[in-house]
Amino acid sequence: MSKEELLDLVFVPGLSTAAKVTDVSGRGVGMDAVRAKIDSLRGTVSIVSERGQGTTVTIRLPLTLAIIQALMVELGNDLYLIPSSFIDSTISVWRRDIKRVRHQEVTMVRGEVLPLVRLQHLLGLPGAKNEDYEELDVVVIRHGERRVGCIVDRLVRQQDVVLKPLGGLLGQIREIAGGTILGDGRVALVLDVRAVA
Amino acid sequence: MGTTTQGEPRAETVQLLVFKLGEEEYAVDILQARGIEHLDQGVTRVPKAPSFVEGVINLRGEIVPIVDLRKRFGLEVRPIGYDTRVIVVEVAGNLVGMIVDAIVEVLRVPSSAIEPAPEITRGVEAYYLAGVVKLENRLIVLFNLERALSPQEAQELSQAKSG
Repeated sequence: MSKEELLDLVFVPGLSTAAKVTDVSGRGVGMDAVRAKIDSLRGTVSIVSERGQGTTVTIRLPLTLAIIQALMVELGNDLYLIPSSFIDSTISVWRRDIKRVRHQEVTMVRGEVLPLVRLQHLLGLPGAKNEDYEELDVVVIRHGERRVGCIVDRLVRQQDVVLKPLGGLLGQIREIAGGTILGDGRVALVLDVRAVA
Repeated sequence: MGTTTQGEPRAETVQLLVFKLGEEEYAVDILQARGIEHLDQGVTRVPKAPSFVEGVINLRGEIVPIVDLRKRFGLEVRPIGYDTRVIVVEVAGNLVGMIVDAIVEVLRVPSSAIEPAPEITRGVEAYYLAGVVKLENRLIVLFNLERALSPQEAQELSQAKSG
């Protein structure tokens, strides 16, 4: 049995190495319960241990569990949420300040070239109105070193949302991290910024 | 079937939730159905989703994808009407809502009345069917939900269409 397999035994129900057992402790229940709960949240738990050094228990939980702060934007009749942790800034850009470099729309912001993405193109959505606007709302998102300006129809507001999964049938969509239920009961989708930047 | 004498164990029965798509009657095992809902809220469309996925709805706090069975099986698409319902089913641990034209009834049939689906059926390909139930003057087609609504199938289908 490898060391990993041995350490994994900690999670087996009823297994205990405790010398003393009381009514509540040492009965081999605790870590089994921990794993069961984490499994039910679709997370993982693992143990790394070095004798005489210490033990690290790593719990990984999916992002879909989280309450996140997000900026709500409007695209046509749809509302989308962009996680605030990926947002660098929001700016407004005049149409005349948008240039094209090899089919890519760009603009200059404080002396730097900022590539622009019209979110409706990325998502394949009809009905967005920003093509007609003279002044455009742009959400600048940052992923690592990269910055991209996302052109939207309108900035709505910032709010805390509970990120929920869309379920197995829709879990494969790169551009969408999940959804959330708004105060009026409607569902709005949360963008996965990694697919944009 | 012959007469049932008292004391004889009851023949094994299945309960089917019968619904309509056009003029045809279809059914799912009622054990797979989690509920029947009115489509009285807006459906949030999901970009890049398989084409037969209408979008998602809020089902008492859970986000549930809604599939238009007509689109799924290449039938003529109809607008949502007075009798339109959503059957929420559980497939491989996921909730999925299926838009159907109308709910007919819950039917109890002996499991022996379910026959394998014929290769050629009107409307829906045999691959997506679990069988057919032949009653006196009715033919009810039973869905294989695992096949009809599985994400793998959906993915392959959308890849085949885009690629």
